[in-house]
Amino acid sequence: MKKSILGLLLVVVMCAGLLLGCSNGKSKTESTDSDGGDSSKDINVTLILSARDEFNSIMSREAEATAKETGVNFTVQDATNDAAKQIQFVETARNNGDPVVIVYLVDPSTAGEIVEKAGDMKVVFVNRYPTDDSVIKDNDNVVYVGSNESQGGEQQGEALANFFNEKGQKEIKYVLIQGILGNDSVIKRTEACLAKLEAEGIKATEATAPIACDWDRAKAIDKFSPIVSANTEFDCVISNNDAMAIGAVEVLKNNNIDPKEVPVVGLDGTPDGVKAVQNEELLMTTLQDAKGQGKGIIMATINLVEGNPINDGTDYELDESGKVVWIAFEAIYKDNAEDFVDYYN
Amino acid sequence: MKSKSFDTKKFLSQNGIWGVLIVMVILLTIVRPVFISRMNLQTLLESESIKGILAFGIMWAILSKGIDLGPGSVVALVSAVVASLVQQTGVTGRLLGENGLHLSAPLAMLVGLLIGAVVGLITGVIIAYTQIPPFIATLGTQLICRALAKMYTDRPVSNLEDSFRWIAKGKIGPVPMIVVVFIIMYILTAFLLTQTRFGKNVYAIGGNSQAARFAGINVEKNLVMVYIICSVCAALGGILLAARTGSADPSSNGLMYETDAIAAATVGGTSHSGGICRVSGVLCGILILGVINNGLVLLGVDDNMTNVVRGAIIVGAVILDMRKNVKKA
Repeated sequence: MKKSILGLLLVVVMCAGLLLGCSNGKSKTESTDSDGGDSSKDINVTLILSARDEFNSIMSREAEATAKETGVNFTVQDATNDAAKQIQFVETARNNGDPVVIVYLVDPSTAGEIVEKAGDMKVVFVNRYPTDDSVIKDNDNVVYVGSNESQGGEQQGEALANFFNEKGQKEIKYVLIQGILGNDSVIKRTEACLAKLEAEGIKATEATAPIACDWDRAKAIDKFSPIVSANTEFDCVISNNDAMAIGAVEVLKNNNIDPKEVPVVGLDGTPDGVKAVQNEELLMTTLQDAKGQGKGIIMATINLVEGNPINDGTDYELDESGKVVWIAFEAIYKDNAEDFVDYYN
Repeated sequence: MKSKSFDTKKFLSQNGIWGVLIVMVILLTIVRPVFISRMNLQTLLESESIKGILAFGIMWAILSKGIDLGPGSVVALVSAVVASLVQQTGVTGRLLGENGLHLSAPLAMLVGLLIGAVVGLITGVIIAYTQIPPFIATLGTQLICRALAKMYTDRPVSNLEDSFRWIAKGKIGPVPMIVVVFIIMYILTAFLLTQTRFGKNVYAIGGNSQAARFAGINVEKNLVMVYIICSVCAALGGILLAARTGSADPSSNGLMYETDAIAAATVGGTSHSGGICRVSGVLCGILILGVINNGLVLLGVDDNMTNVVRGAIIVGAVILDMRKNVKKA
C-alpha cells in the first residue's frame, strides 16, 4: 500500500513537472510573437534543427533575434538527429498552415522527401546542402542558405601551403582528424583542403590512416595520443573542426611538441578556436558564420513570402540560379583574430 | 587429485579473460613494438580511465541484476556544471558572468559529486520502490540529464582554471593523476565488493532478490545505494573529462560512454543474470577494450572496422559467459 502511494506520488510529481516545463516553453514563444513590435508581416515559420549543438544554437539565436526585429513569428524544433522526426515536424508545420519551413537537414539525402511532405509550403534548407541538388533547381518553392564547405577546406589548404612553401618544404606528411564519417561536410572540407595543397605544389601524404573523432575534443585526444606516442612522423595536423583541432594541440603540448613547428589547422571559428589562433596554438581557423546563416534564413523566409530576390536586405552573395545564398567563410589568422574574439558573445 | 584438476578448470574459466588480454598484447607488440613503450601504455591508461571508472559503477547495477543507462548523460551534466564553476573569471562569454560565481577546485568537484549522488538517489528510489525495470528508469535518467546539461549551457564551457585541470593533468611521480584516481577507484570498488556487508548483500540481491529478502536483507535500501554509487562514479568521470579536455560540451560529452562501460563490465565477466562479478575481471575488460582502441589506431585500421571488432568481442564474451554459468547451474 505504502509503496503504491509512493509510486503514485512520484508519477504525479513528474507529470506536474513536465506540464510546468511545457507551459513555460509555450509562454516563451508567445512572448516572441507579441514582442514583434512593428509586426505587420504575420509570417509563421519553424526552424527544424538536426540537433542542438553549439553552432546550431548560435544560429537559431541569431535567427530568433532577426525574427523579432522583422516581426516574424519564429519557433525552433529539435529533430535530435532523427530524420523521421524531422519529417514529422515538417508535416506539422504544413498542417498548421505555415507559408515557409526552414530545415537543417539531419540527412541531406532526405531533402526530396521533405520537399514532397511540405506540399505547397516553401522550404528553406540551411547549412546542409541536399545530396541531390535537383531538389533545389527543379522546385520554385525551394531555396538554400549556407556556407560552401569546400571554401572552408580550401582556406585550410591555403594556410598550410603558405606555411610549408615559406619553409621551402615541398613534401609533407599530415594527420587527418575527421568529424563523423560520411558527413557531407567532412568529405567536402577534407577533399578541398587536400586539393588546394596539391594545387599549390605541395605533395601531401597520409602519415597514418585518418582518425574519426566525431567532432569531439575528448575523442580527438584519445585517438591522436597513441599516434604521437608511437613516434609517428608528421608535419602537420588537419582537423575538420576547431574542437578536435584544440584536442590535437593538447596532445602535442603534452608531448612537448611545439604547435608553431607542427601546425594544426581548425575550422569553424569558435571562441575557443579564435583564442587558440591568438595563442599561436592553431595556425589558423576559418569562421563558419553561424550568425550569418541565422540572419540569412529569416531574410530568405520574408523574401520568399513577398516574392523578392532571396538575399534582399542582406550583403550575402546569391548564385546565378537565384536560389542559393552563400554565406562566405572568413579565414582567421593571428593578425586578424582580434576582430573575431567577440563575434559570438 | 580430482579436486586439483577441478581447481585448474575453475581458475581458467575465471581468469581466462586475462589470457586473452596477454595474447592481444603479445601479438600487438610483435606487429608494432612501440605498443609496449611506456609512453603508449600511459596514453592507453589515460584514455581508458574515465570509462573505466564508469564501468566500476555500472558493474554494481549489473551485479544487482539491473542496468544503468544514465552515466553518459550524468557525465555531460556534471562536467558542464563543474566546468562553469571553475571557469577563469574575467573571460568574455563566461557562462556565469564575467565575475560571477566561482568556486575553488575541490568545492566545485564536491558539487559535481553531489549532483551525481542526487541523480542516483532519485533513480534508485524510483527503481526500488516502484519496481519499474531499471532499463526504463535509467533511460529516463539518460534523457533528462542530457537535456538538463543542454539547458544549462548551449555551448562548450572552456577556459578552466589550471588548479582544476590538475586532477586530470597533474602527475604524481611519473603517473598521471587521472590514472591515480582510476587506481584508487579500483581499490575502493574491490574493498566495497569483497570486504563489506553491503557488497555481499548486492551479490545476494542479484542472485535471488526473494531469497535475499527472506534472509533479512533490506533490498530496497541496498538498491538505492547501488544506483547512487553508479551515478557518483559517472559524476567523477564527468569531472575528470572536463579537467582532461579543458572544456565541457553538453551535447558530445559522455555520449555513449555508458555503452562502453557496460561493454567493459560485460567482457570482464559481470553476468547480466545478476549475482556474478569480479572487480579484477572488470579491470581486465576495461584493459581489453583499451588495447583494442589503442592498438587499432596504431595499426592504422579503418575506424568502422574498430567498431566491428569491438562488437564481435562483446557478443563473444557474453556467449562465453552464458555457457560458463549454464554449466554451473
